[in-house]
Amino acid sequence: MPATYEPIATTTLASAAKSITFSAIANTWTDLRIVFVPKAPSSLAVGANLRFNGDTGANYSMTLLYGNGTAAASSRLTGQDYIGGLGIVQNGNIGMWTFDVMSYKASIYKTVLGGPTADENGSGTVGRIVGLWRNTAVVTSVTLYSLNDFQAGTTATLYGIARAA
Amino acid sequence: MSPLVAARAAAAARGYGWGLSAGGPSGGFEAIATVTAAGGETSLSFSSIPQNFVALQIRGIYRDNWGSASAVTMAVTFNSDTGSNYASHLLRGDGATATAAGYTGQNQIALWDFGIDNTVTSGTFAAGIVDIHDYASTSKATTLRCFAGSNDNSTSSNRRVTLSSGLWTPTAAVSSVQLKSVYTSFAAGTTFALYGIKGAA
Repeated sequence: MPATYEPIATTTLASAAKSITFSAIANTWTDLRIVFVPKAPSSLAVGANLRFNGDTGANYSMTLLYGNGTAAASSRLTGQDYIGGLGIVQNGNIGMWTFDVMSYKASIYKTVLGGPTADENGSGTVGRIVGLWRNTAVVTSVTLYSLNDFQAGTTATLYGIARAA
Repeated sequence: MSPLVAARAAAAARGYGWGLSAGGPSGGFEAIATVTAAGGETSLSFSSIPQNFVALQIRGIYRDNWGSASAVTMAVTFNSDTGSNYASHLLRGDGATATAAGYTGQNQIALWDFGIDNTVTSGTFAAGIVDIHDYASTSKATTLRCFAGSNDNSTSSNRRVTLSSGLWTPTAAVSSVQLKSVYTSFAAGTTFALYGIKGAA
C-alpha cells in the first residue's frame, strides 16, 4: 500500500539544464504534487513551464491570477504548449513553484492547480494558476522546462498523494 | 543568498514535510475518507471525522449537472449547522480582471469557483484544495482556505482561478463536513478526498 503523501523522486541539477523530467510515473496515487525550486542564471530569466507525457502540442490552457507588488491582475492563455509562465526569476535568484495535478490517472482532462512565487527584493510576483491538459491519458511523465537554463542547485521533487479507498 | 534558500536549493525541495517520515497510515498526512458522486446528489458529506489530527485537507474535482454556462461555486457547512454563522472572502481572476469580495452572516461558506457546469466538454472538471486548521479545537472558531478554479480552453470569464477564505464562528470541534451543490447536483465522477494532518508528538 502506498504512503498517503509519498516522495516519488527528487532531481537536483549538478549543472545547468533547460529541463527536468520525471518519467515512468506509476499509477499508484490519486494526485501528483510537484515542488520546484529553480535557480536563475546571473543575467537571464527562467520560469516554470509544465508538460505531460512529452506532449508539445497546443493542448494546454490556463487562467492566471497574480500580484507584482503594485497591482493584482488576471489573464488567460488558450491553445498553449505548456502550463506555467508566472514566477519568473533572474539574476541568480531562486523561485518556488508548486503544481498539483489532480486525478492524474483518471480518464478525464487533467486540471492543474499551480502556485508560482518569485521575490527578488524589489521585483517579483505571487500568483495562482488553474491549468488544463486536454488529454484523458494517465500522466506517466512530467517535464519542467524553461527557454533559458536552470542553474546547478535547481531542485524538483515529485510527490504522490493517495486518497482513502 | 539566505541560509534557508541555500539549504533548500542544496537539499532538494521537500514540500511541507507532511507524511514523509513513514508510509501508510502511520505517516503525518493520512487519508481519512473519499466520497464520489454517482451523479445527481446535491450533498456529499464526511462524518464522524477523527479528532486526532491538527488539520484537515480536502482535495477534489467537481462538475455540476447545471446546464447553463456559468461560474459554479460549491457550499460547505460544518456539523450540519445551517444558521447564519458563516462568512467568506474571495480573491478571483477571471482571465481579464482580478476582483475581491467579502460576505458575512451567511448560512454556509462559499468555496468560490470550485465547480464547472455541464455545458463544457465531457471529462472536464474543476479542481480545488481546502485546508482547515485546528478543526478539533473547542475554543476556536474554524477558519478555512480554498484554492480552486476551472479551465476549458475557452475565453469565458466563467473559467476562473480563485482563493477563498471562510469562517465558521462556533467554537465546537468539526465532526462533519457537508459539501453542497447550489446549482443542480453533483455530476458523476465528482470526487472529494479527506486527509488528516498530524502535529508533532
